[in-house]
Amino acid sequence: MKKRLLSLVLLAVLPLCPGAQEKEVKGDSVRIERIDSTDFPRIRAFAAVEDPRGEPNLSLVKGNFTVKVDTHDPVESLELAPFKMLEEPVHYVFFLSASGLMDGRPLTAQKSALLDFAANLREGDTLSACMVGETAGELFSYAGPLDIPEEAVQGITVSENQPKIFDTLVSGVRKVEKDRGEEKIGVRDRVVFVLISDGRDNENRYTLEQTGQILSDSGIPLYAVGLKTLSETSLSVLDELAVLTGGSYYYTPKADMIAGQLEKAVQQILMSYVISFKVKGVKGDDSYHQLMIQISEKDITSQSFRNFLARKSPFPRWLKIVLLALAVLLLAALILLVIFSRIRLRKRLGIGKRRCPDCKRRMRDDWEFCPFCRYLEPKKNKKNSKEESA
Amino acid sequence: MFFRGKFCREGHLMDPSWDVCPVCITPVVGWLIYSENSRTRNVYPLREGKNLLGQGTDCDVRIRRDSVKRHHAVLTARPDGVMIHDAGAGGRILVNRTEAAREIIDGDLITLGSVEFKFKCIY
Repeated sequence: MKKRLLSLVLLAVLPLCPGAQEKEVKGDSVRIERIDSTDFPRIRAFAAVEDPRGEPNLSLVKGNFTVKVDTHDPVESLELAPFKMLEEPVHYVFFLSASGLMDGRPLTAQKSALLDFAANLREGDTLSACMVGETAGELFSYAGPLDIPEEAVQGITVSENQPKIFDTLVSGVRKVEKDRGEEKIGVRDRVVFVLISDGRDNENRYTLEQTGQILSDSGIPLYAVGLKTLSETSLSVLDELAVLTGGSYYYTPKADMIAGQLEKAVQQILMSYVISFKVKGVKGDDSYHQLMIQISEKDITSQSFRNFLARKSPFPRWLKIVLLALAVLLLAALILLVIFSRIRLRKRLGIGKRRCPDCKRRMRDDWEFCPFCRYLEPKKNKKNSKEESA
Repeated sequence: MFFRGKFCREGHLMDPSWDVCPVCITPVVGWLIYSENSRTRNVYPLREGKNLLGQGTDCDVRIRRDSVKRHHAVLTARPDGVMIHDAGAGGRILVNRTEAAREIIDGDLITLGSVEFKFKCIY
């Protein structure tokens, strides 16, 4: 009985001990946001590292990272750079919710958050804005920091359209892909979706998994800001979707906090690490492979996994150049060979530089006359022959 | 064609720039007739002017016999007479079975190497 009592007391007291509390404190966590395998076997992975408070950690160095592809040995030669230092532009696509529940303060807060966000865009960054509806209703697209149409933003009113988050996001992806095809944005340019929503949606054609897969395949992470309206139950969808795409989710109990959460999201986007490396031992087979990024700091490790497509390149660039050079050399050699063989042939036939002064044909040196002029009938002009026949 | 040269239908080697064969357009003035057991086997036309006889692809009259040299003899046919002489390769030439380079007339027997031909001429 005493033993039981003692063990119960110990169980109650242990969590309060300082040592036990330290163990519960989590370290930094890593999240792979996007993998660019366009130039496979060269890969660029965008990884965000957050401290336990959700703030980005930019103090890590190359030694803190371990990268593995499938079950191979860790990649040895990594190039690590914070995204902000690369000064590459980001194209943001904003999705605003204007359903009936968003009427009033939530909608106003979204508008002002969007305008604040636009005002803080870096040089070169672009912004598109869409409304969540049955598809992505476009407000404006590819606007720079100085050309945001403020009137269009202020003119947003509550919509009667059913909010279909998944369908809207998928139509947004399709538009980005179309724009990539039309070269409005580069294939390798970084595109980020930012969604502000209460998580409520109706009768989507696409499921959560399908939407996550489509976004993930196109390399677009979703940063979702979940705004509590009536209840929090529908917000979990946004969290799941953000995780599936490599993005992040930010909960906002009050509309006034949207701007602050957006700022956090932007920090996460800009403060991510860009890890470049060359994959060895994995062939480009047009199938998915797993990338693991692990960070180790102060005996605490965190891992993140994400799949990428090992694109099959029919001809590597160097091979194309070599083949082209070989073709040019071969062509030049062929031309030279033809020239030399003709010179040899003419020498054998006894043909020098002599030509018939009348028909300009090449003549043998031992010919006393031109056989072509002597034995061939002279060509008649059409006009002359007509005149003669008349 | 690029490396072997251009040939006409009769098998004469041509310069690639020629559209017609200069040998084939020259009028025929005689023939060399090869017979075996009193049967005509081959008839080689002879053209006005110089005719290079031999096995070579560049010959005007190509005679493919072992004893015939690549450039064996030159037969010159002119209205004032037909002459045959050595082409410089040292090939054996007999006219009516005697070894001499000279003028030939219709009906003469010409021996090139060990092959005997009958010469027919329209002059």
